[in-house]
Amino acid sequence: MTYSQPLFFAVFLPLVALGYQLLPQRHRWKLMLAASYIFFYATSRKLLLYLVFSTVSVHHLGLWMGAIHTERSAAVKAVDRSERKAVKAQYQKQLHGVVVLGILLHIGILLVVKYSGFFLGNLNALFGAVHLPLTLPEPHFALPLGISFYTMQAVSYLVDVYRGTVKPDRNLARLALWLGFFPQIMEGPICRYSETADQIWAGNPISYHNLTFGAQRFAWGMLKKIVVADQLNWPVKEIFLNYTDYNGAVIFFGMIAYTVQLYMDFSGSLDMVIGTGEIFGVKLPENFRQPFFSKTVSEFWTRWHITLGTWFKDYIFYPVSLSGGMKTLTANARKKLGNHYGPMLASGVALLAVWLANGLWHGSGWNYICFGLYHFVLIFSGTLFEPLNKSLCDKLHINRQSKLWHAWQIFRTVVLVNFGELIFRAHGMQAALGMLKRIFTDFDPRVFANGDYLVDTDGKSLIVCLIVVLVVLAHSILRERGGSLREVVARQKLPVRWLCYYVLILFIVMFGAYAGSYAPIDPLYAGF
Amino acid sequence: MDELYEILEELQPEVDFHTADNLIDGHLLPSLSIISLIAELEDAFDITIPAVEIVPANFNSADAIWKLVQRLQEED
Amino acid sequence: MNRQSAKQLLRVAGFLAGLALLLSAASRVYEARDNQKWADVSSFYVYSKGYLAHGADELDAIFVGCSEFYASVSPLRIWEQSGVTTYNVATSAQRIYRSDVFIHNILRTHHPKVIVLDAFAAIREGNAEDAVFDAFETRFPIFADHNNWKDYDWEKIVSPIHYTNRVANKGFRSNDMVDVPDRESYMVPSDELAHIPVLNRLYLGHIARLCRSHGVELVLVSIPSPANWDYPIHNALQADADALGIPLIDLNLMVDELGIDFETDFQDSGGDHLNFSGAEKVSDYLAQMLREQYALPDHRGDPAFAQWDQELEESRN
Repeated sequence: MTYSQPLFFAVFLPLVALGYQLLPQRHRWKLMLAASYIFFYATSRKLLLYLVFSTVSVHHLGLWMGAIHTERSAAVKAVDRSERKAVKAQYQKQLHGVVVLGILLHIGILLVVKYSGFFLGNLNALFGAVHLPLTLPEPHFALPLGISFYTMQAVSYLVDVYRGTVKPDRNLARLALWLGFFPQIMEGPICRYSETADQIWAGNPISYHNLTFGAQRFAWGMLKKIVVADQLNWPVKEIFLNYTDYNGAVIFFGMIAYTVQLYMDFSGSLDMVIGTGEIFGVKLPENFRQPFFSKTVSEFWTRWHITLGTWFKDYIFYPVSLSGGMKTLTANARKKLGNHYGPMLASGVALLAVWLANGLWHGSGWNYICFGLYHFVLIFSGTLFEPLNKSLCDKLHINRQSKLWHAWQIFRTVVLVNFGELIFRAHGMQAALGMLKRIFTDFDPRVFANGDYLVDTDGKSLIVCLIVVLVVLAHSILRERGGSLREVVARQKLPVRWLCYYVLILFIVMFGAYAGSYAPIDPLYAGF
Repeated sequence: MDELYEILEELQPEVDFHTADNLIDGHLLPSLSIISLIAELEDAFDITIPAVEIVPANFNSADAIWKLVQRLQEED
Repeated sequence: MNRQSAKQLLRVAGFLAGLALLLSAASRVYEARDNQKWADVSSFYVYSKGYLAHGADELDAIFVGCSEFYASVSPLRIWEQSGVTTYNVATSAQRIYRSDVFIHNILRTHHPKVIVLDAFAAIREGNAEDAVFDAFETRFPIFADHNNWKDYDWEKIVSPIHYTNRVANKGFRSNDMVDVPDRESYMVPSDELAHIPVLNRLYLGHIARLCRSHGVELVLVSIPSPANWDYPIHNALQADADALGIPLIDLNLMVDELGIDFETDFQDSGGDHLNFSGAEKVSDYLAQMLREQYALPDHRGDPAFAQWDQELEESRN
């Protein structure tokens, strides 16, 4: 069951919402927890045990660390000032041991389930290359729903408890609901315990405002996914699979189509997810903030898959770059290389760690690793060359605050992001390089004139996609300026409002890429 | 506090640190700059800033940063 | 409930009612005006809609099922042998909730005396998502037809619905490939009961009620298929059929009576589907069954049905 299917939005969700509203407040969490586990079971069956195991283990580990924290406070008070640091350090070691255990356990499960096949496959390739007559078995595990997402949440909870910023939850059910909450289990957003656990648990009644605004957001997401993303899926699939059959210009079209598909699919799915949360009065964090208005690749990653970025920032980037060893490195480097380049060594190492993790998180493949490295190089060199860029622009009298320069920056970022997504989507590194080569050496623009670029799609469908893209663009401009379309519509008279909603729904029904010869397409990020 | 402004302005000259109160939320201080900033602050004010302190509440404005610096100076 | 909540509830109900109306209206606009192959229309659409090009009272029995039916049941052979008019509404891997949509649509416009349902559709496990979608599609055909817009023009929209494609073989699609199945474990007598999904049982009951309310006889037929059928499945379906009062004619138990020759009559992998040769034997049996057990009329010689003779002649070429 996925969010964009009638089974979810026309059967499951209304039933859950109805039951929720009719139940007294103190019982609502039970319904939500049951609904979440049913949702999980519908897709993954017995693999639900993975989620249950993660929940029980973080509950236990959290309480363990909480106990150590309490002991430490008592021990520190009982001793005079001079010995406090030593006592603190002793307990810190214990805490450290527990959190490392928890992290290794969860990341370990994720690594084995997702990457053991890839890892052993590469080992076998290596053995083959050095003519070692040894072939290890390459296991293929079935992935439980959302394991990449709930593992991140579980680890964030453990680290937050370790740091003392979150008090461990005694309530196993509340933790279970936070980790398994059905709107976000499939594709995120990756939430922090302090952000959403209480909200989800509270069981506040469904208000008319939340119901209508949430439903509108949900429909908006359907527009993006069903009309655009699911339509573009077909040319993208064919072009990326059989790129050797196509001219560079067609591959270029495929690349652009993929970036559009990915954005519409992922942000559209998140609209549905956040809209669903909104119906129940839960404010889930945003994952997208008009990413294609970014002026740098660095900025892009603060606007695309935001919760993944902030997770990496808080749990990898800062801890690595501000660790003891790195701080010493920074201190020494600043003396030799100055204030701009000095800190870049530590932050560079941390950044590399983040981008390797980011690449691998998406999938086990060399092209994913290259995708990560590609963005690492772009972001790092951006900062590295900043003083040079600045002086160059000053010399050429280029005003970096001008609208023209901003437009150039946006254009450049969009181009760079597109190439990154091509590497991301390609069937392996060889294919990625092959496709890139064709774009640059075998580009025949005539395909756009004679219609050859229409692979597994047609002109009419693309026009519909274009219309939606333009509508979404207009909406993005409104959002960038701080506006809200739902608010604007809500202020109109009832006939106008209802007309807007009906137009939206009918547009999806009439132009969606479903039924007939269209096979249903799972949300792209549910596979990560 | 003047020293703080000097450090900040050298890091991101385009930002007006006297009035801005959304340095983190408004993405005016990117993560790489924060690493440099922390290195400078630790050096200049003889403090240690652990990773757990890097939250918007502490870094969203020059005032907030100054409060953090003062608090950490007291703790040591 | 206070006044404000009542008002809000009314508004939501009103909105949904309006939406249902709009979807119904849109369904009318999008309904295919003809069942020729065009736009998004796949072959299965053409074959499965061929009955619409026949008169409302022209077809005395309609077969609804999956590939076992379209490989084994030839309406023109049945016509030739008995003069009974039938059509084969069969689509690949059809699940019972899909059969429900077809039967629902058939009974909306046509008056067959008998509906023959494929036992394989009745036992196959489907998935809830498709079942829900199909349920919506029954009420609002636009969910199936909306892709027609790519081929629409003003002429089409204002033209009345007129199906012209009677489909040459009336839904029968088979071939003359031969593959010999292994029948060691085929129909070994057993008292076990296979598992039939609850959903299927519910739909079967629903279809039975639907047919009854239209005064149409429903009968389940299981085509010989060593690859897919065994005694436990027979037992399970027989039990369900008995409980619902639906006759089950299991041809897997009658392979000798039909004269099925395992060396020549199956077309693929381990006896999945019959070929032309096997289909002939099944069709002959069904022709006799429809005449004798259901007293369906023999229209041969009736000038109103002369077209059937023509179509039979054409199919031989």
